[in-house]
Amino acid sequence: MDVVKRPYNSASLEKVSPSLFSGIPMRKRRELGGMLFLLPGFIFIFLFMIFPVFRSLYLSFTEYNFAFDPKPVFVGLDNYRNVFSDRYFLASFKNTVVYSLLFFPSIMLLSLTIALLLNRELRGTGFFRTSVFLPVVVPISLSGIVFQWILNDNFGLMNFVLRDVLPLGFLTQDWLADPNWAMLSIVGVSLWKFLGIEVILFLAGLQAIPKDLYEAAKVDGANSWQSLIHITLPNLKETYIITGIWAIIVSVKVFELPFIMTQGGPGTSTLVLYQYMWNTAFMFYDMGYASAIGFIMGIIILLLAFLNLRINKES
Amino acid sequence: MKFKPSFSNIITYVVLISLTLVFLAPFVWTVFTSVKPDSEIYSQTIRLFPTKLTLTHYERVINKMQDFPKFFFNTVSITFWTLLLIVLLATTSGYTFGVIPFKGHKLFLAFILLVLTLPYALYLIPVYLMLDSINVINTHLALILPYAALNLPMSILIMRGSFKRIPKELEEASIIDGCSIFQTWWHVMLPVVKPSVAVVIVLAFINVWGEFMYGRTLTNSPDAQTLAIGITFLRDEAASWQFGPLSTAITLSIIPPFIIFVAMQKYFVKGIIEGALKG
Repeated sequence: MDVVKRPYNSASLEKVSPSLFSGIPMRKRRELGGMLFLLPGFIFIFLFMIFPVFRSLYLSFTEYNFAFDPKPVFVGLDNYRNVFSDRYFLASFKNTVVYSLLFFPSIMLLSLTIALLLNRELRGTGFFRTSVFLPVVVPISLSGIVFQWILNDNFGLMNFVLRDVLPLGFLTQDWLADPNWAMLSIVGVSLWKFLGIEVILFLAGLQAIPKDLYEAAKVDGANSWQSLIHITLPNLKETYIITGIWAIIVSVKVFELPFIMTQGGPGTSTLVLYQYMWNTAFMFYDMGYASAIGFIMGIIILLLAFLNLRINKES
Repeated sequence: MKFKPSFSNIITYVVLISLTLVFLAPFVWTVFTSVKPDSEIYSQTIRLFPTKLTLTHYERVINKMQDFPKFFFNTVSITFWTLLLIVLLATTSGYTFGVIPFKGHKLFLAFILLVLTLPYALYLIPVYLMLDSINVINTHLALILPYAALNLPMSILIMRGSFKRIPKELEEASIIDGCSIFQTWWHVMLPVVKPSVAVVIVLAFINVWGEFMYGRTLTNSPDAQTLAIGITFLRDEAASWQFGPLSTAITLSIIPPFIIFVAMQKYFVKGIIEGALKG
C-alpha cells in the first residue's frame, strides 16, 4: 500500500499558529504530532502482539517448564524435532486436518448457497438473514454448552427431533461420546456458529457484481442457470479468496468448541492442535514446547493463506 | 420484493425455512427451558414448548447464585473499559496511519497484517508470563489490556480507511485556521468518522463479551471471570446437569449482545465485511 502524499501549500502553512513548536517547520511539526498520536496504539500492539511473537519464537528453542525451571534453557531445535515422535501431537495434527477437510468445503459450499438464495430478495429474506447471522453474536463457549446439551443422549433436542419428529430414530446417538460422531458433531456446531460471517461476505460479493452483466446476458437469451454459471460464480473470485482465507484460519484455529464440548475426547478423537498447545502450556506449563507447537500452527496458517491466494489468482 | 409461486421460489422458501428452523432451534430451546419447571425439563417425553411458565430459575440465578451477578458485573466492566481503550487508541493511531505520512508506515502495516493472521494463542504464553510477572493475573486489568490489544489491529485498519476517505481539503482548511493537530483531530476529523467508530465498537463488543481462550487462561476465580468463562465452570460444578439455571444464565448473558446486534446490525455487517477485506 502506498503512503498518501498530500501536497501542502507550505508557505501559507508555515505562517500560522505560533506555539510551543513555532521554531519547527509545519511539516515536521505535523509529523511529530502524528507520531505522538500513533504511539499509544503502537505500544499496545508491540507489548501484546509483536514482542510476544519474538518472545515465543525464542521460547520455542528452549526447555522451559514454568512450574519448575527458574529460567528458559536453550535447546536448539529439540522441540521441533520432538513433535514428530509425540503421539499426542500427531493425533492432534491429524484431527485438525480432519476437521479442516470437513469444515472448509462445507462452509464454503453452504454459505455460497445460502447467500445465493438470500440474494434473490424474496419476501422475508430480512428475517432469514437475521436468523443466519444471530449465532455469530453468541459467545462461543455458551454455544458449546447449549449444543453439548442438545446432543445429550437422554435429554437432548437432537435425538428427540430424530426420534419423535422425523422418522429417523435409527440415527439417534450419544453424539459426543462416540469417537466417530464427536468430530462430525463439532464440525456441525462450528457451521452453525460461523456460517453467518461467510454468508455476509458472499452477499457483499454478490451485490458487487454489476447488474448490467445480467441484463446483457438476458438480452443474449441466457437463462438464470446459465447466468449463474457464467456470470455469478466467475465474478466472485475475490470473494473466494477472502472467504477462503477466513475459513482456513478458522479451521486451523478451532479450539473453543472441542475444549468445551468434549475436552478432546473421547480418547484423543477430538484433540486439536490448539487445545494440545493450550494443555501443554497451561496444564503442564511446558512453555517452550507449547511455543514450538504454536509456531508450527502459525506457519501452517501462513502457508495455506498464501496457497489460497495463489490458486485463486491463477484460475 | 416479489413473490411468484414458481417452482424455484417454492424450493428457495422450503430450504430457507428449514435452515432458519435449524439456526433458531438452539435459542428457542434455551429460552423455553429457562421458563420451564424442573418437572418438565426432566420428564420422559421431551417437550419443546413449555406447558407451565415459571420464573423460579430466574429468581434463583439472580438472587441465590452469588457468582452469576459477579460474572455479569465483571463482563460489563471489562467490556466497557476495553471498548473505551480501543476507541481511544484506534482513533488516534488510525488518524496518523491514514492521514499523516511517516517513516516506517509500510513496516507497521506489514506487522499489523502479520499479527492479525497468526494464531492468537501464540501471544498468549508470553502475555501470560508478562502479566504473571507484574502480578495482575486474575484481575480485570489482566483481561482489559490484552483484549484492547487483540482488537486493535483490526480497529486501526478500519479507522485508517475511514480517515483516508475524508477529503484532504477539510483537514488543510482546519490547519490554515490555526488548529493544532489535536484540535483538527477532535473538532474536524472525528465527527466525520463517527460511523466507523460505531463499526469498531460493535465488532469489539461482540469479541470482548464472548472471548473465551484468553479469559480462561488469565483468570482463575469468579472475582475476575466473565460470563463466557464463568458459566462453563457453573456447568462443571453442578454435579448433575442443572439445565434450568444453566439455560437461564445463558439467556441472560446473550441479551446484551442481541440488543447491540439488533440495534446496530448495519454497522455489524459493515464491520465484518471491512474486517475480512483487511484481514
